[in-house]
Amino acid sequence: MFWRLVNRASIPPWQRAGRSALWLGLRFILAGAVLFGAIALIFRGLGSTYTFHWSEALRFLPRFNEGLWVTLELSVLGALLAILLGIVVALARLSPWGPVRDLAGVYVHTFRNLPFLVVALLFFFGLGQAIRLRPFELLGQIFMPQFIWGVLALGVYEASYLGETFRAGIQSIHKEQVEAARSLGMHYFQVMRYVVLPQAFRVILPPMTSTLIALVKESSLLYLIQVPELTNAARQLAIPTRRPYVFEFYTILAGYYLAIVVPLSLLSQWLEGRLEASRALREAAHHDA
Amino acid sequence: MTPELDLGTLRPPREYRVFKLVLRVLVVALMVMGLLSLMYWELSQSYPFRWRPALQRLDEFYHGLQGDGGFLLTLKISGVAMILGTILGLLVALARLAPLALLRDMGTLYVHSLRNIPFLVFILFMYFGVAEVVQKGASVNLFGWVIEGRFFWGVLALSLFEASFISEIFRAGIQSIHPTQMESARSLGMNYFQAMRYVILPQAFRVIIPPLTGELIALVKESALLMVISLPELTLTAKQLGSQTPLQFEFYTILAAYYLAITLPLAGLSYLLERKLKIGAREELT
Repeated sequence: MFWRLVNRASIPPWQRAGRSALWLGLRFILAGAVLFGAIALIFRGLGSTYTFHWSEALRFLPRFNEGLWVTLELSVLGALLAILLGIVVALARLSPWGPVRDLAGVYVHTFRNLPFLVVALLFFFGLGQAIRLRPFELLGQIFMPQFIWGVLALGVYEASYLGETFRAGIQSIHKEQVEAARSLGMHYFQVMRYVVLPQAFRVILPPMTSTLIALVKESSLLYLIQVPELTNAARQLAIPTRRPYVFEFYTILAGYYLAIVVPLSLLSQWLEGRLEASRALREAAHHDA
Repeated sequence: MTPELDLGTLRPPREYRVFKLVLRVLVVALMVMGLLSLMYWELSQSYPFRWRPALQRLDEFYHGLQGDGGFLLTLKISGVAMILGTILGLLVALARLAPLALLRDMGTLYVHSLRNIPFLVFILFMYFGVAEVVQKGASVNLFGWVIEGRFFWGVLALSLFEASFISEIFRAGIQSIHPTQMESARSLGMNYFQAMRYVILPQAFRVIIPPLTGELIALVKESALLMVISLPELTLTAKQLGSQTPLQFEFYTILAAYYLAITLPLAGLSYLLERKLKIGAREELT
């Protein structure tokens, strides 16, 4: 009965039965039109007299593309740092030594309860005053101090979220699993590598991807410390006195972020579904045996 | 003084637990202070710390430079946005569970387009984009009710944005109740609203509360971004103070402490609520 075991979630949403892409697209275009019409009516009701300049605004797309690259660099480097630090924090939170656990707890609770903006400002304007970084060149690219502080702030902040995710994932594996593996003669690292982590990964993946998506979105705040990323590009273009089409610029900006984030969240949904399906298959095989 | 252990009971006596907790807090506080002072000493080689003049500005942090902002404004913004966001979130959640596909799709579109853009982009879009299109000027006239423009757009942006997250929490909570609950309530003669009121929502509440309080804490943190539309709340106050006197590190540290003073109590409250609402908690407590 293989076909029964294929989880519905393992099929990408645009390929599911009864949901041809065309039909889905039509439905959403209709919903969008109704929503848009309602908003436009509200605008008119509030006395709007604005003329749109889409073609002029779209000529500035190359400026947005430059910002897009910086946003992607920031996100990738920040995510790597956050994952590495997050693992360290999770292991510290699970350490057998009490004070280490508590210290990691203080770190996690402090950063989780601060706005990212405050952390970024504290890092760049606060620590940046005390520790003066110089711009340096690596692989033909110049890294400015605000970029480095931005990556550090992103990494350190999101590590406090990822640390909790990793910890919860590892703790979700029953203690008996570890004990059984130990009694089979595996040592600690083998247990982690072959028993705990493969199972924990399934629990960790969905919240981890959503934290990484949040990281991409948080990176927009780094325009406030003068990192030349996507939002900064829009901010510099949208000057009402010189180019009076600010609405269009910010709509394009929102479109850029949707173009980065929506594929990421679809990817995470699909991965989640695959992991779920492989688990279902394995369990079924186990029952047959 | 060693506390006495009563081996007859499973839990050690209260005094012993309190003693251990105090010891633990002390050890951690010492370690954190040690680490921080090590960093502090290292930094003070290159940066002269001046805490006294910075701490003299605490009052300005509390009610802003013009007396109409700061900590109090942050509290006001977060309070209004929490109420509006929760109501809107509930409405959107009901739309996403509606029997009419058009309503469901509209809800889905709303939730997914807002959840997938950064809040900063949404504020900029609302204040510099939408506000420009709808009504120019320093104040908004909402059917005869005049509100300060930045406050109106800031709170509106925050509420609309958070409603998209809160609606998902409500929807998941309502859907977590098994459909047979609704069916059996209906078969007992209750109508849809009675079933919601007496059967579904009380159970969904337990699932909703922990993520909802988490989201409300996130809302307080997001309110910091309203500084970009020059709403003189806590973060903008710190920034303005920093441009007056070059005590950036000190001011931003105080700023962080102010936010922790709002969010940590909220986090503690949510932890207590969660423990109280856990299934079987009533038996455990008595």
